Amino acid sequence: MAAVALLLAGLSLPAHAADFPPLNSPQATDHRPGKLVWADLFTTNPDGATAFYCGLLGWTARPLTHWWKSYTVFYNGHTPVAGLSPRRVSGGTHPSRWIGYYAVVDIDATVALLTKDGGTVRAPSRNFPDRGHQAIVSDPDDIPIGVLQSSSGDSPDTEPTPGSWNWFELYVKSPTATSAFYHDAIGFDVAPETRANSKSDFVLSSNGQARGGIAPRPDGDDVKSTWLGVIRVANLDKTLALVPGLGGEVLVAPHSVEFGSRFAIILDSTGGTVGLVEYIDSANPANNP
Amino acid sequence: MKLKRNILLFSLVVFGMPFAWTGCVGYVGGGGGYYGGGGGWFSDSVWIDGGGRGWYGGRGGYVHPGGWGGRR
Repeated sequence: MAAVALLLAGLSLPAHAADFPPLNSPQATDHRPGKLVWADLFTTNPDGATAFYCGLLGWTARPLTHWWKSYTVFYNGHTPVAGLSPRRVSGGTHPSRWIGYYAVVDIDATVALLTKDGGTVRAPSRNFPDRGHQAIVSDPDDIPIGVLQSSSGDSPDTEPTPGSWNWFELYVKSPTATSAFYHDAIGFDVAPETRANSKSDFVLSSNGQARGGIAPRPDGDDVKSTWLGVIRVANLDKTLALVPGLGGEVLVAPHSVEFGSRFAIILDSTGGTVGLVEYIDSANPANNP
Repeated sequence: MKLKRNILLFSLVVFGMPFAWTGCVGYVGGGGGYYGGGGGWFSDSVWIDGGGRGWYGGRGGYVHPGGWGGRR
């Protein structure tokens, strides 16, 4: 009897270790393919990265541990917004990288399309308890992108709050060819960018909602095609003022972009790049910080 | 009482580890994170390196704000 009890206890142990927060709470069955639903920072310096982002954005970090493995969930208020995965790679310089995950309905079908169109599987589809099935695939330009079939559905489209992801922009050498890949594989609606002052070539949309953009990257030996995640902040100047003290660097100074909003790009203390944007309500200046 | 508790904890470890090692919980790998760099979910190598400063220094940088409500 005791042996049976112990066996059952042992069997149940891994389930209790599954401690990812659901992507959508309360759970639903709605899916919004193409929506950016998660992002992970892959870094060789988890402590440094955690201190940086919590100090910069007011996120709180909740470490998850399971035996010798670890993962950190970042919360914006009570909402989980991102994760941190430690890397184990030695020698050389390995800057951190944010990888965004786009919602999909059928991950196996999506991964098949991604590879058929020239992508390379970097992390195969795997079920992460309480989160869903996720995979990472590099596109034909060798830029990794995550896809995630949430087990709790996808949350409704609402305006991002400060501290949340606002946008992902893809900088590549050939936006036209790249846009075809993402249209075919992920199912994005791809439209030429027509808005004034735009520097993007294409806008990626789904369900009538713009999700990201594709812009040409500059030429040069040091140029690397990449996705750039952008986080909304309440006050860009105040946020940027914190960057040097946290060990980061402002790479692109704040400047006005569409609709009067202001934007900057920073390098975090571990070599990861991220964009920051402040919404400016030009119609109602009193609403601005 | 303490001895019984220790025996129980030890037993949990002994019975639980094989299930973890076989990957039945989904996130078991060869060390590092839940995602298991080095033999786990992904193979940790240069493909995942970020661009660092890359081309951002003073040249690039553009973003579409969300497009909410027609004012942004």
